[in-house]
Amino acid sequence: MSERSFLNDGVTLRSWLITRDHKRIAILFSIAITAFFFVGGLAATWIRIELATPKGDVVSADTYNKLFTIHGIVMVWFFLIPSIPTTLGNFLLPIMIGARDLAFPRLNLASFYIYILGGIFTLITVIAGGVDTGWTFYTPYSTMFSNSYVLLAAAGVFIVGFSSIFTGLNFIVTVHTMRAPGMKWFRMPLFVWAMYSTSIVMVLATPVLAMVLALIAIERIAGIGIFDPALGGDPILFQHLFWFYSHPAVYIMVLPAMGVVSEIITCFARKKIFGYKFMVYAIAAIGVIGFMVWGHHMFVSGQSMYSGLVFSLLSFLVAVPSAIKVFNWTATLYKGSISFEAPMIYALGFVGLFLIGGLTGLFLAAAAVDVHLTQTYFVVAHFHYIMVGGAVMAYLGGIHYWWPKITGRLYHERSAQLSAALMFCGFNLTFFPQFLLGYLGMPRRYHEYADRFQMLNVLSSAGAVILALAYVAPLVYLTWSLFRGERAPANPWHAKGLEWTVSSPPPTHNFAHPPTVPDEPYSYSPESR
Amino acid sequence: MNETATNGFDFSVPSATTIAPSIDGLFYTLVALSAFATIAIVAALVYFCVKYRAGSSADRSDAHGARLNIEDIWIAVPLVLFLIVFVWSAVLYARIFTPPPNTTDIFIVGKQWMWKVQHGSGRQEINEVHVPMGVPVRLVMTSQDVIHAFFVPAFRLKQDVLPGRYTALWFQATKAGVYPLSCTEYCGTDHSRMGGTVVVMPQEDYERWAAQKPPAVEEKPHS
Repeated sequence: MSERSFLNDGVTLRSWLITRDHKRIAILFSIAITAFFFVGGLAATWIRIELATPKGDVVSADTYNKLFTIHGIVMVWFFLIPSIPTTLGNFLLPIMIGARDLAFPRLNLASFYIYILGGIFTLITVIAGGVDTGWTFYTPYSTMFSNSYVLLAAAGVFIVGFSSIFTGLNFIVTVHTMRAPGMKWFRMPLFVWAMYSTSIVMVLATPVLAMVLALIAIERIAGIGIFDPALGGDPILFQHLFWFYSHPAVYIMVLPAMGVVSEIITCFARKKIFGYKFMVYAIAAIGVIGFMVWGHHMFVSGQSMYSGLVFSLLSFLVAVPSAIKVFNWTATLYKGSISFEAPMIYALGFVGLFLIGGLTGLFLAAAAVDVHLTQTYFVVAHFHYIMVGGAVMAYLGGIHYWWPKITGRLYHERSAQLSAALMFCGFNLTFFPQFLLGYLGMPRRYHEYADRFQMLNVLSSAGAVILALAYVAPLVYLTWSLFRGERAPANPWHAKGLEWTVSSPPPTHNFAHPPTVPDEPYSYSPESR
Repeated sequence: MNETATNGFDFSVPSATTIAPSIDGLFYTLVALSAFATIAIVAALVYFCVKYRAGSSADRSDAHGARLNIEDIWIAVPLVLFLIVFVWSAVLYARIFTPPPNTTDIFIVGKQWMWKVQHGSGRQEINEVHVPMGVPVRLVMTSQDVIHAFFVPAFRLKQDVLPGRYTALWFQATKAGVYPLSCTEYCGTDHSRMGGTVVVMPQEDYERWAAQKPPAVEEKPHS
């Protein structure tokens, strides 16, 4: 490479493995989470093959149960939760606020190795024979009845939680203390706001997950009654603690996605984001209210009617800021000068899928309707629209948007546009039929199902084939671009923001001179194209 | 009940309780609202994308200009709609939770992987639940091991069944027939086989059925 950059500043493996450069750590993370994405995806593929026919004719019931469990554990904790924060967040957050690195570079590297350690536990769980509790570890099944490797799997999740906490802590301190002169709070890009809000949720919620997993271990190992009524425990207590983490975890996945999409839409519409302050308040509101809605996972659990009603109301309230964001993205396009490079197609795909995911969330927030729909494929479809349609589309949109910045290379634009479109279609074909299955009464986590559900399951499995192709494609053309792609200029999209003022790839120290920020973000204008 | 029409193309689910049409009413209202919102927003997205595509000659003057308090409107409109849906759903949810007095009680025990049922008359059955039509019925349920859930799609009702305590589910069936019953709380190996049927019969038939000397019940998992 012609210039000195973080990529060629030390070329040994050692220089990568003990790096404290936030940009290199981001790349380490991106390799690791990509590997886990395909592990989780392999399990999903197997599940969809089994479900192509009503009979359990591909794998045994136990194997099926282990497949959906590992799919959930890997996708939630080893892909979705770390996805945007540890890769794009790690790489961009310091540059976007004009900082030299994160506040605690060593802690950042520790976060990576803790993630790897958690990942090793998870892989050992699979090799040893798997775990069959579902990613939700519901008690007393997980503590007293499952004969699979529950503790090994729980240990992996327990450990990887500390990676989340360390990264979150690091981001919070960085945003508070390391902003460049002039980078006031309301001049921060929305991606930074999203990272900041996500970090707070990570730091506050993840310890509760650690506690609940530790309590599982205590009951399973020592037989001390915490959750199993046979020992004097309460299984509903588990659900409260678990969802107190796991509902906010959904926002850990989707807030960063919203941040990415806000950056992309404003750039390719050549227009300042509509209602910047409302966008910030919406991010904050989602972060806060998101902590108070966990009981909507428990409308039929046996919790009291009054709890159910309060959680139902709060769940409707948390939908308001999400609606505002969708309206504001749409309004940003108004009188813009819009072009449709791959990141924009991913971002628009995100808006469409997130819209459907959000609206179907209202069905589940309506407690009386939830009584019918919960624990069925309707819920599976709903959360895949949010987490896969939403968060994964946004993650890939972000990867494409910042790819030239990160790698210094341009990818093949047409391939990227096509795979984004293919992903959108494959996704809808896979998951939309599942809404119908849920309403018709097909329960989730079923190895075998009634014949009358086959047609829709075949459609879903067919969609999964397309989706799988659409996920493999970027792996191919992005890898290709690393070696053969054209060199990227510093600012290929003519985008605003500090990350586009440094060379591509950025120098090790990010900025030759500490930048100052004279203005609000997103000074795009449609005339300038 | 046409269990025979199982060609994989059956997109309907029967509706067999007094609450089912009410749940469907709210469900389809939500479908209509969601369809409207989706079409409206997607139409706006597509319209803007076409009209304001780079290079088009559309008027872009005052692109960042002053605007009405449009954000207040799009906070207020969803909020009001959401609150209406919340109240509607809350009323129904309360109905689901509030059995009338003088229900016919049936006792159900879930265990890996079967449903054991005992009627007031003493008659027992497994993986089949006979219930009378036209009168309120309350299922009083508990589990012998892990958490299960009792779900009858045709009733639009579902309730977790927990070890160590009783949960109840009440309904008034409106249509005689045989309806599928599933366990929907993951409970281990044969979770997907923990099902059965609910048989709704006219009350006199039910009384007669319940009074009959029960055939010997074998305790073996449904498979």
